[in-house]
Amino acid sequence: MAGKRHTGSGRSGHRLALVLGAGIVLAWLGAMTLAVRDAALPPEATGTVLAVFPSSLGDDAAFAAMTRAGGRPIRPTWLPGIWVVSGDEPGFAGRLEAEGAVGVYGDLPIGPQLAGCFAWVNTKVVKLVDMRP
Amino acid sequence: MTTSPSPDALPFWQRPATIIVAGCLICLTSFGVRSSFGLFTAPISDAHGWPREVFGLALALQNLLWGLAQPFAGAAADRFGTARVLAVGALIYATGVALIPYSDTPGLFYLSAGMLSGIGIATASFAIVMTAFSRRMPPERRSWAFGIATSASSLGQFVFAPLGQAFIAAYGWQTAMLLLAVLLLFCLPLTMALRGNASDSTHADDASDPEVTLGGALAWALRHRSYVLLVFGFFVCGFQLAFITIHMPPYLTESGIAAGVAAGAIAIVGLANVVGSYISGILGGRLPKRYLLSAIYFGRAAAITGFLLVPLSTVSVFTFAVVMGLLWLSTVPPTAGLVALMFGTRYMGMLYGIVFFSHQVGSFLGVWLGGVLYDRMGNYDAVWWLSVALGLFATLVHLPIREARAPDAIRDSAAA
Repeated sequence: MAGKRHTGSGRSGHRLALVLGAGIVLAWLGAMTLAVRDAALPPEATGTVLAVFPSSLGDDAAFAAMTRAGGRPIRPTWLPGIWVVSGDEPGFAGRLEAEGAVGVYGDLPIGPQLAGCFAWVNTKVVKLVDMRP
Repeated sequence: MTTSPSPDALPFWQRPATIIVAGCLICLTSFGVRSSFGLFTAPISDAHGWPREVFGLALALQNLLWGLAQPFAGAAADRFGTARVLAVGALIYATGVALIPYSDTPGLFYLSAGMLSGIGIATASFAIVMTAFSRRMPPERRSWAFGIATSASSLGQFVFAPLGQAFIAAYGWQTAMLLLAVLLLFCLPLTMALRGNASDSTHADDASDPEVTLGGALAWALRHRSYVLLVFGFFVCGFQLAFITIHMPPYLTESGIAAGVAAGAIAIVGLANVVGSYISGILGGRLPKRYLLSAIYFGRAAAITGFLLVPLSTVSVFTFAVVMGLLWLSTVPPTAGLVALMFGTRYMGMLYGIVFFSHQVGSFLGVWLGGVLYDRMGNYDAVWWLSVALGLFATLVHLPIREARAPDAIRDSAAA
């Protein structure tokens, strides 16, 4: 019967779902790579920034790296390896990267978003996850 | 018996795979863009010096209009075709999003982020895509098609949130909003694959859909007990999900759980939701949908009960997140499937839209009651237990649903 050959018949439908999902994730990764690269601060940047260290580095090593870069660690964020740090000397962002930071950002509005069929602003959640330096 | 045409005999743009991919990409973008709105709370409020209430009211307006406009958008899709409605919806939605950076007064912001975006979401939503799927996919594949559409919507909120965050960080919030508006415009060519109105179903089973006016269909549905029960059931879905979405993170942190764990739990819910929605679509095609819905609501009630009774820990939070994620939007495919089964696909858009409106009312009450009872009692216990009670109510409500075409006698008496 012709109807059996329609997309969605068992394996062919699941294959379509997998290919579609993989394609979406690949496109997303590409867009994310570009945007995250563009979001990084230039090496000469100074001020209060977010320094991203490998999470495997540990807080003590990250703290030491920020100090060596001439920065004043202000606080860790809720995401492991990401610190708010301040430094006034020109080239601060570049020195952080030289000391092991994988990226230095001015503003990372990272937070969980699960709008479902209903979106709302809960100021408690906004404060909870706000990572702006 | 008439059989569906072979996919190979159809032009590329009419093949089921093309229709599914196009519909899923529309669902992904429409749901995803909306899910990233919350990220703009701080940047927009700070830029204009507004209290958070301005943003909150705009989103409340958006939610309300989405729910209110959904039956009308569905009725328009039934009459004028899903492609036209989706295209108009994408344009309205993109216009609303694009105008947000230029809305420098609360009034303009309510218009762009609230009204235009809300109406745009309703007219470019997964409800309209599922209406198109119901007409273009054979009955035995519909549940699967509803599942993949819901799953794509779920994936949208999972991928668009970090993308929106990266856009804001890289280009500023104004440009980020414009980029999201441009992404919505990409839906326009995709809508072409979803052409067809109430009389265009490609499947023999729908040829027997009775000739009934829009008003007659509405009266027919509202007099059919099983449909009314479905409307009540979906109210519970909205209540539970909205309450958990909004109030779970502060509940966890106030209970001593780290903010990172609370954020991780939300992310896990989002990811598990992608899987759960898809599985639900598959199961909906194999099992009685009413029992599947009963099981989902019972599962939610049991999961919440366990979550409340077991001491809070990272493990219990993540376990709850996985279970709730699997059950999150898994109600959508069997609910939509039952509407199509009861009344055919002729007025699927409007009739599912009414069910969805009930969902949005439940959502509003879940968020609102969560806040009100927290302020009065100092904790969320009452609303958590209310969610359990409503879950049990929904479990029972779905059991007597008659999983068959609504009786013609009801339609005839409604028409008379």
